[in-house]
Amino acid sequence: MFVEQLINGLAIGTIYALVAVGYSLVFGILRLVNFTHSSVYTLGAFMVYVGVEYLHLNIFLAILFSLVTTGFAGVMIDKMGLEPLRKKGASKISAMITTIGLSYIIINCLNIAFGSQIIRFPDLFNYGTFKLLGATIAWQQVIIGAVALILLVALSIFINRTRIGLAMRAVQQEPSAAAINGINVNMIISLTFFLGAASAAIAGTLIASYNQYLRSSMGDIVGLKAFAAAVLGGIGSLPGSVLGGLIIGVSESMAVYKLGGSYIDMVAFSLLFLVLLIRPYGILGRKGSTKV
Amino acid sequence: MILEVKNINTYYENIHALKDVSLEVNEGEIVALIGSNGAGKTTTLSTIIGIKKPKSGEIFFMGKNITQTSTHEIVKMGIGLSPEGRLVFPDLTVEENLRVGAYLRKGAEIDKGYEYVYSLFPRLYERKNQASGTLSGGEQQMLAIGRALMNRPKLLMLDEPSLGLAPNLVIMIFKLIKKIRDMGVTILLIEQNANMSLHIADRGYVLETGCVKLADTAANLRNNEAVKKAYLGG
Amino acid sequence: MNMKKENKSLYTKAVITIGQLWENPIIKGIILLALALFVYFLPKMATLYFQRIAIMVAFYAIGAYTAVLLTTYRGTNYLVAVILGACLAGAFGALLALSTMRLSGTYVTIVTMAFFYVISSIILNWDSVTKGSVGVLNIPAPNLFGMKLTMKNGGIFYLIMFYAALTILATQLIINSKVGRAIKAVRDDEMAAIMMGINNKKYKIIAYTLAAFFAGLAGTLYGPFMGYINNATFNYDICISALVIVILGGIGTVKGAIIGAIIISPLGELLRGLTTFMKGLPEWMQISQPEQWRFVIYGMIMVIMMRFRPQGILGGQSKLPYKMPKGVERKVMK
Repeated sequence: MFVEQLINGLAIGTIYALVAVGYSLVFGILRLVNFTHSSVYTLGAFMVYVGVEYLHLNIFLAILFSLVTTGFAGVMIDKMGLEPLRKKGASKISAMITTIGLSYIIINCLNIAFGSQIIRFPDLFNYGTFKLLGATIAWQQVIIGAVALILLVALSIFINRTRIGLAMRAVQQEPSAAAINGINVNMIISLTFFLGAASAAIAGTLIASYNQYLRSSMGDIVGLKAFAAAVLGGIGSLPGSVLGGLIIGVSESMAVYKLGGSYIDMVAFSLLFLVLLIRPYGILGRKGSTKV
Repeated sequence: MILEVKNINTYYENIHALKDVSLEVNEGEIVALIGSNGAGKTTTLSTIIGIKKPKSGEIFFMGKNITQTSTHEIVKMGIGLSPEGRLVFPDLTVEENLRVGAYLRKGAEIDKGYEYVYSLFPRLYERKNQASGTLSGGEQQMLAIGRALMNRPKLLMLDEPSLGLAPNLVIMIFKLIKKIRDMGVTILLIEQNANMSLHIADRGYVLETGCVKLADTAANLRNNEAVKKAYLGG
Repeated sequence: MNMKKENKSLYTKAVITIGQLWENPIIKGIILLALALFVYFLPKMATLYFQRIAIMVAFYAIGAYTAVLLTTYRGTNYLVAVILGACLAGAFGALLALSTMRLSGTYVTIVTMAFFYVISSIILNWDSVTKGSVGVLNIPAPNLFGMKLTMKNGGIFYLIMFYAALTILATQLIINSKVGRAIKAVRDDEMAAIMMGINNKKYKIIAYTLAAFFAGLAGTLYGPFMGYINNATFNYDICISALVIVILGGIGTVKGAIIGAIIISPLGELLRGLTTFMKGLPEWMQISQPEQWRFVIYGMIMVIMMRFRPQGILGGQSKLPYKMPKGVERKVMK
């Protein structure tokens, strides 16, 4: 039971990490808590569903379709909602409230289009189980964890090793200095939104396939936990987000193992309380990089 | 004439920061822009490079109207800025900072840029793998100038390069500015240290509360009684 | 002839719609108003507007559950239950203030959000006491000095009006008192307040406690009015409703909150009325999910207001686009 729960925790944890990275990216660049992130996550899963059910695509094309449309939605959120505010020099609170509003619009439009009830979602990775240390492990969990992990690694290579990634880091640290060195800051911000949205779409799809259902409210708790993970690890820091996601995923499944399932949602937040009381800037966060 | 600024008016919300400012910079010159705090020196540079857009007036760079061009396009055309307060990217290494400076360049040009900057500032080469947030003030200033040079600009604008530096470093920085000019880069220099900047400059402008009060050769400005009194310490 | 008849039924429908419009909303509106009003007191902590509302809802739930559980299962006197409910909420407020004291910015955001979710989670999971998602049924009507206040005799309505008046009066009194000024000073510019010799910690705790107390008080109304509460009564949506009210009216102004409440509260009923009204129209013109549309409209109000009128419709009276310190502005919005 322990090993199963551990593997399960790690798999869910990497998905939290994938969502947390999206929060961290946008926060790092705009110092803004992007409340649309959880709804974009939901949208991503729904887009796969639309691809399969309505456009009759095969599953991989459907995922690609979702990546593109959801990523594009992320860009639109920035271009239509936030860029005009930046141009106006509006306050950060305005930007945050705009993301809350947009997130509400997205979720409720999904509600109007698909209803708020549970919708069956295909199990993408149903390859049975295998034995490890006497425990029965579902391939599904391993694959989900692996896909999320590969994406995290790819994302981190992109940010740390490419020219565009360098530009992203530059914008994150000194936006005005980045601009005077010829970086198109608005384009970099849009790209950040694209990456965040696309990774959230994948995470949403993985979770939907894991649960074998989707619903418009699926992003609420996951979004909040992922945000908690980002803060726990030190928001704005990529390794921090990954660490935070894993810690939350594993401690949740350990709590289920020890205490049973009913308090699962409290684990993340109680953990966060504790960590922040000891380390107010998160585990890997630094004071300078997290000032708000 | 490499840069021509014609009657620009720039605002911060309701504050009229630049009032009909006009200035010219010829190729190969060092032009100094002097004035006290809040006179509009930094705003002038921000307007030239397109971070601030003027409400009226026009800016020409090498004959092209760049008034409404976006910052990254202007940088591409060959204007570089070393900003006030240096604004190095603190978590990037020295070399990465320079790499950002060459953002619009490709392949071999970047390596040439490194060579060029490291030959000007050997100190930066010694520290190339160090996070730039850990550099001293003088080193950060060199890095900011070096970063702006990585794009091989035709016009380099320097905003308060001597601010907060020890006197011996100030002299070194001014010598370097001359050297950069001698290597063929036109320079527009903002300084509170009017004395030093009028010594290395060819011409100068005096800004007061958003207006150009005086425009003359540096030598004449140095001998101008009003300038002496206000900016050169009697 | 026929025409006239149709007109008449249209008229009746309209009257009924308007009637429905004002039955629930007044009360919901006033409860929301109480929330919105006291949000005003909580310290201005960077990204925190929404979170302030969320914790207000949590306090509100604490007040509501305390009062309802006491009156329904213990037969406690209504007044006593109300006071206990409000005080317990106030105590939680003080606790939260203490626990967020060392944190700043985003971290306060997440801790307060977490607080909201922990409270909802307790309500949902502590079955033996809160009855979880089944909820508390048959909540008795408030009994004041032997007088039963029900919906029928309009007593509840008067009670709520009394609370509303009390809340507004209390807000005004506090705002204009020495304590209120100190709270405002800490809220608007903590550093400056500290330098003026104001004990920022003390006033933060007072602000939280007061806000929580009044939110709890508002919460005690909800149970007897609806006759039923469960975990879904205090969810995310109610936070959003309160948020939209203050955004529409203007953040940080009392008048703004009142006007916002007046405009927003009937919206739900209006849409529901519209749904009934449009039954006869071709299908594509019908609005089938009034609740969802209401939330879409809420979202649009937020986005549009922030873009074009961040100071709220009252305008000019609020300081929402307040100046941030120079360094912050550059980092954030350039």
